[in-house]
Amino acid sequence: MIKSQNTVAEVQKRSGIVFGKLFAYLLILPAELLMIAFLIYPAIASFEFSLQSYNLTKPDAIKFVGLDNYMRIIQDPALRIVIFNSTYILIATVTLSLVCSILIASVLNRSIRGRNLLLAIVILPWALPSVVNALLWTNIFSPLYGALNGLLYGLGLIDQYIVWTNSSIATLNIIILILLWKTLPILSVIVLAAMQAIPEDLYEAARIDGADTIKCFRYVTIPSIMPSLAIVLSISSIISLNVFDEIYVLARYRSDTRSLAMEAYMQAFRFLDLGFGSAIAYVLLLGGGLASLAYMRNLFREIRSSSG
Amino acid sequence: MIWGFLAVLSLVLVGCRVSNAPVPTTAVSTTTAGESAIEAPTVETKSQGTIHYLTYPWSALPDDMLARFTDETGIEIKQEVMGYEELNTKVTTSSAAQIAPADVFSTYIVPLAGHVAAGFIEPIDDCLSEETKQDVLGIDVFKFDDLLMGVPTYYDVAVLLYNKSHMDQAGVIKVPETMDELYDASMKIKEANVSNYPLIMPLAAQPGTAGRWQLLSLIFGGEPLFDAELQPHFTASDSGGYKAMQFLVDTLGVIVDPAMVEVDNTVQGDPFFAGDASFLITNIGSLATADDPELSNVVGEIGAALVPGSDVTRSAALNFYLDGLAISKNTENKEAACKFIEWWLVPANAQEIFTRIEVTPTREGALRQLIDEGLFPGGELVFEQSDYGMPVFAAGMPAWFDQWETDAASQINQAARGNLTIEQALQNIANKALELQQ
Repeated sequence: MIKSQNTVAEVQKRSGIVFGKLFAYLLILPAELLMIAFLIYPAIASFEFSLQSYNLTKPDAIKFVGLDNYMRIIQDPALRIVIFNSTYILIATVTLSLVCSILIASVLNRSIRGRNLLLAIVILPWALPSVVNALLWTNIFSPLYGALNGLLYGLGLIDQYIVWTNSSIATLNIIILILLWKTLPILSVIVLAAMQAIPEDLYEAARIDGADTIKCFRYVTIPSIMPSLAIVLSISSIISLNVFDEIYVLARYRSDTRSLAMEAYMQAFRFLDLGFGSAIAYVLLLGGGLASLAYMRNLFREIRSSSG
Repeated sequence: MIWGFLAVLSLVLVGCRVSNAPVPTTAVSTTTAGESAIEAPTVETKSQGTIHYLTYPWSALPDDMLARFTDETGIEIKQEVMGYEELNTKVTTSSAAQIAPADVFSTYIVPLAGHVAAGFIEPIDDCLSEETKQDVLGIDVFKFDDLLMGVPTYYDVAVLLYNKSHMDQAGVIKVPETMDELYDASMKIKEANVSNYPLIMPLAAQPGTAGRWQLLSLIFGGEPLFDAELQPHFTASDSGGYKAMQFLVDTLGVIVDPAMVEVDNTVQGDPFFAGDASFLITNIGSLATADDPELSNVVGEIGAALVPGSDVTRSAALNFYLDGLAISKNTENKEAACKFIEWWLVPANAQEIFTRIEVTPTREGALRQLIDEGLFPGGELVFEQSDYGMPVFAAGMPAWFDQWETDAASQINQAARGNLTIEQALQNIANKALELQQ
C-alpha cells in the first residue's frame, strides 16, 4: 500500500516535471521559431551558397565550386589585408574594453558624488546608432573642417590641418576609438553591476587576513566578476568583428582599411558576387561564434570550479 | 550585423528560386528611407492604378507634381526617396529575390550595367515613341545589346568652374584652356596667397574619383582607355591614363589640398563654394549652387568654361554619366510605369522639373528652349562641352564596370596616399579589368 502510494506520488511528481518542462518549451517556442527562421536557417543556407560560384552578373555561370571561395579568402592578397584589419581591431578592442571597463567600473563603484548622473551620461553613447556615432567622429577628424583640427589650430599647436586618417593604422586606431567610445559605457555598467553584487563580508574577511587593496582586487574582485568579464569579452569581440558602419562612414571603400564585414558587403551587394560574399560572411560568423564559445566555456568552467 | 547580413543574403538567394512574387508598394505619397521604415510599412499587394517610384534625393519630385501626374493619368504614384548606395542595394537585393524594388526607379549608368547583366531590368523600347527617342540626349548609353534598358532623365556634363575674383587678385587674365594652363594659374593664385590649394580634385576611395581619372585620361590621351576587345591601354608611360594618374598624384599637396584623399566626393566642392578654392571641375548644375546665397560665399564671382584640354584635345567629357529611370523586371505595372516615364519626358514637364529641382532635361528641344530663354544660366556650355564627349570603353559599357571603377578609385586613393607607385596602381587597375572579364 505504502509502495503504491509512493509510486503514485512519484508518477505525479514525474508528470509534473514533464509538464513543467513542456510548458517551459512552449514558452520559448516563439523565440525558437524566430531564431530558426532568422538565424539558424540563414546560417545553413549561406553555407550552401558559399560553396557556389554565384555572381549575379553572370547568371549562366552559377555552379557548385566546393571550397574554392574559402581558398580564395586565404590566397587573395587583398583579403589578407582585410583579415589583418579585422584581427587588429578585434585584439585591440577586446583588450582595451576589458582593461578600461574594469577601471571605469572600479571608479564608479566608489561612493562619489553624482554617481547616478554620471552613470546616466556615460550610457548615452551606447544609445546612439552606429552610423550617427561614426558621423560624429568623422566630423571631429575631418581634414577639411574637423573639430580636432580647428581646436589644435586655434590653440596654435598646428600650422595646417592634419589628415588624421592618412595611414591605414591611424584609421584603424580611430575606428577602435569609435568602437570603444560606443561600447565602453555599457561594458563598464555590466562590470559595475557585478562589483556591486560582491558581499562586503568577503572584503572584510580578506582584510582580516592581511590583504591590501591590490590583493583584495586580485583575489576577491576579479574572481567575483569573472562571469561579467566573459560577457564583456563576448560583446566586444562580436562588435569588433562585425564592425561595418564606422568603416563605411569614415573610410568608404578604401582597400587598406576594410574589415571582413565590409568586404562581405562589398562582394555581395556591390559587386553582386553572392557566393564569395557568403563565404566571407561565414568565416566571420564562425570567428564570432568560436570566440563567444571559448569565452562561455571558460565562464562555465570558472563557475563550476567556484561552486564546486 | 553578421546575422542580419546572412539573413538578408539568404532571403535574397532563396528568393532567386521563387517566381511571381508580389510587388511591394508604399502607403504614403513621399517617404524618405528613414521615414518609410516607420510610417510606410511595405504591403504585399498593390491596388490597380498605383505605381511605386523609388528615387535618389536629387530626383525626388514635389508632391504637387506627383498629384498632377495622378490627375492627368489616373495613376496614383507613391514616391520613396533613398540615398544612392541604399537605393542601388535595394534594387539588387529585391530583384535577386524576384521582388520589384519599385515599379520604376532612379538609376545611374554604373549600377545599371550590373543590374542589366543580372536580368533585373525590363526593356522599355516600347514605352517611348520614336519621336521621343530621337529627342532624348544620351539615350544610346542606356542601350544594352540593342535593347533600351532605361532612359536618361538628367543630362549634366562636367565643366570647369572658376573663381573670377581669385584670378583677378592673382593677376590671372586668361581662363585656363589646357591642364598645363590650369596648373600654372593655380600656382599663381597659390603664390599670391589668394588660396593655399586652388584646385579641387576628388581623391577619396569612391567611384567619383575613378570617374575623374577617366576624364583626365581622355583629356591627356584623347582616346578610350579600353579597346574594342576590352584590353586596357593605360599602363604605358605615354598613355593618357598614366599622365592623368601622374597629374593627380603630383598636384596633391601642391595645388590640391592633401585632405582630398579623405573628403567625401559629395562635399568635395565645399571649399570652392566657401571661397577657399579657385577651380572646380563639376557638373554644370553646380552653377546654381554657386549663385545661391544660402549655399555659397562666392555669389557673382563664379564663371564656367570648358574643361581644360591638352595638346591632343581642346577638351573632353565623359558621355555616359547619366541619371535616368528604369523599370523593374518584376513589375506588374509596366504600362503605368511607362506612362510615368513618358510624362517625365514631356518637354513642359521636363522644363518644370528643371526649374523646380534643377534636374537638367534630357529632351534636347526642351533644354535648348530653356537656354534660349535665359532660364538656364551657363546652359549653352552643356552642348559645347558635350561635343567633346568620348567613351572610356570603345565597345560599350561592360557589366563589371561598377566593380572595376570602385576598385580603381581605391587604387588611385592608395597612389595619392603614397602607398602605391603610379605604375603599381595602374597595373592593379588593368589587372582588375582583365580578372573581371574571366
